[in-house]
Amino acid sequence: MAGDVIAVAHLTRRFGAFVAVDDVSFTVARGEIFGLLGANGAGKSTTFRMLCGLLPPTSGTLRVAGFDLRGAAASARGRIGYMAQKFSLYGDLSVAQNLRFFSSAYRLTGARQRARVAWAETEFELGPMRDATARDLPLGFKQRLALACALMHEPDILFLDEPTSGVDPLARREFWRRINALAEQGVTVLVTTHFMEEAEYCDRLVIMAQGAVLAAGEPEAIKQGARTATQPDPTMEDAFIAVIEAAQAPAQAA
Amino acid sequence: MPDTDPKPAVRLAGVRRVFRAGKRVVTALDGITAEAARGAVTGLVGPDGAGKTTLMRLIAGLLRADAGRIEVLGIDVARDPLSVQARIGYMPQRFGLYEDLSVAENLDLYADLQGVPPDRRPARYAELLHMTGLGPFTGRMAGRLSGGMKQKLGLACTLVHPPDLLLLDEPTVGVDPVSRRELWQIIDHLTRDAQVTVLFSTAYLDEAERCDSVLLIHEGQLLGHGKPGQFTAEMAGRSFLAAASLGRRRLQARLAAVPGVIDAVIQGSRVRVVTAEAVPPVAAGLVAEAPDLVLTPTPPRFEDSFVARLRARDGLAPPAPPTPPLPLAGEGAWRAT
Repeated sequence: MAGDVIAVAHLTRRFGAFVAVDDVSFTVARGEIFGLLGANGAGKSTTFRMLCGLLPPTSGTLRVAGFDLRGAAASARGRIGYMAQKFSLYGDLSVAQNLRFFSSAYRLTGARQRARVAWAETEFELGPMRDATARDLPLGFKQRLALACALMHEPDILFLDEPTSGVDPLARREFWRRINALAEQGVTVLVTTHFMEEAEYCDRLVIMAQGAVLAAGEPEAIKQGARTATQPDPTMEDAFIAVIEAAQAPAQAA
Repeated sequence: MPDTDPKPAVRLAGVRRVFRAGKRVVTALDGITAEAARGAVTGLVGPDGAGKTTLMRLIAGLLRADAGRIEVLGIDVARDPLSVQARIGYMPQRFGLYEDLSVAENLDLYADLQGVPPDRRPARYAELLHMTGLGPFTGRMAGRLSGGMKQKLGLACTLVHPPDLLLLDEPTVGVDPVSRRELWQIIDHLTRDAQVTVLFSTAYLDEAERCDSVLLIHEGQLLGHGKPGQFTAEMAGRSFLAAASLGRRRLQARLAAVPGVIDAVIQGSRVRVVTAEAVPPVAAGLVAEAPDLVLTPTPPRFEDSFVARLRARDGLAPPAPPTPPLPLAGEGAWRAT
């Protein structure tokens, strides 16, 4: 589709005999919040690393922001902001130094860099902590700083890897308020999570297990797919379990 | 043998622990007073950094408290950590499975370490393998098990010597919902049938509702202590599902700004709303842009109570206003510069 910012087709990644990602296909439209839901080891992070151009696929095609990642990974990366699990900040550097470092890494210089650092300090209320060492920040601040760092170069696409695992509910709401505002403004968001609540915030999502996509659709549709007489109003967790059990049933019967 | 001692399995009185690294001082636990009953599952529930792991290590006698007193199975841990350690099983977050040993070899290793006599092992292994469903996989290398199976093997290794108190530090983090459900079935079996007392830590708030009793911890402080039903009872009549034709993200942002609303989160196609008081909000006119707004009562959940406590602590401050609109000028217009 013309409006697709991310297009993945028959994506496969092997490590020796192990198939980490097995024939995965999906598309994500501009301004959409798209979720990859699955347990540790389901293939989410491997898919993510390929989408970021950090790992070449064994087979399949990947287009991100109009660039084929096999030929133009660097160009695509310039359009992507990435927030890693556990926030990958430089613990020994101050808040201001982290912002300067990440903006330099995204090739911002001079007045533009100063403007973006100032924007981040204001927008994420980091000003009062600008001289604090990143390691000493409370978790909620770390999360805000990590998001600010990922947004320094005004990316069109934002990749969030387990963004709110373990943070308190208010920090999680605050984080998603910002993500929703970005999506409303046209930023495309791809998020991996094993947190069922977070899946509810996505416009569409895929459920992954053992490298494969087992279900895809809007959260409401995925939940409705698990409706039974005994379970009239399934949660996302109920739906996830139903999808996994349905996938295992033919294997066990064979 | 059923444990009939009426004293609590764990008694915490004013427990405080501070960590220092150079000039930094972090108060991991700031005066925790609570109890965990015998034969029950007590949940240590709270986000990362709450102090859950520190509390587990203090109870296991692996760390000393700076102030306060901890009694485990009637023993003062500070005085006699070895007696406590002989009677507990502790499964830390990164359990030390030997990945290049098989399931059976891992069990043997832990049986050796815990001094389980060889003649008692076959019956105990059979019980543990049945309980964890690992029976068909005894020859498999631990490194080749799925995340959920590794957790179950870690649990079996922790249990080779039957403990009176089992400490499980975030065993369900990152495992898939099917394995999580299986772990909970094992824990239920242990407490109901084997009379083991379980202390279970988690950052997943929905797991609070599966515990018999909960200590809600946040930033080193105890925010609440009781049966999960007591937490949700406080929230009765205060949660609703909101539906309107306005997009769900806009509806959420507008509802979050309504006075008296302490929480609004997207749940599928609807928005889940929690109010400050048990007075049903009048849907008509609540959100100007959503004349077709419908509010349906929905049962409270543990997380509602946590959010209410955090809001109360922060002085019932209304949620932050929506992000100020940035200059809009077509494609990529969210840019602030």
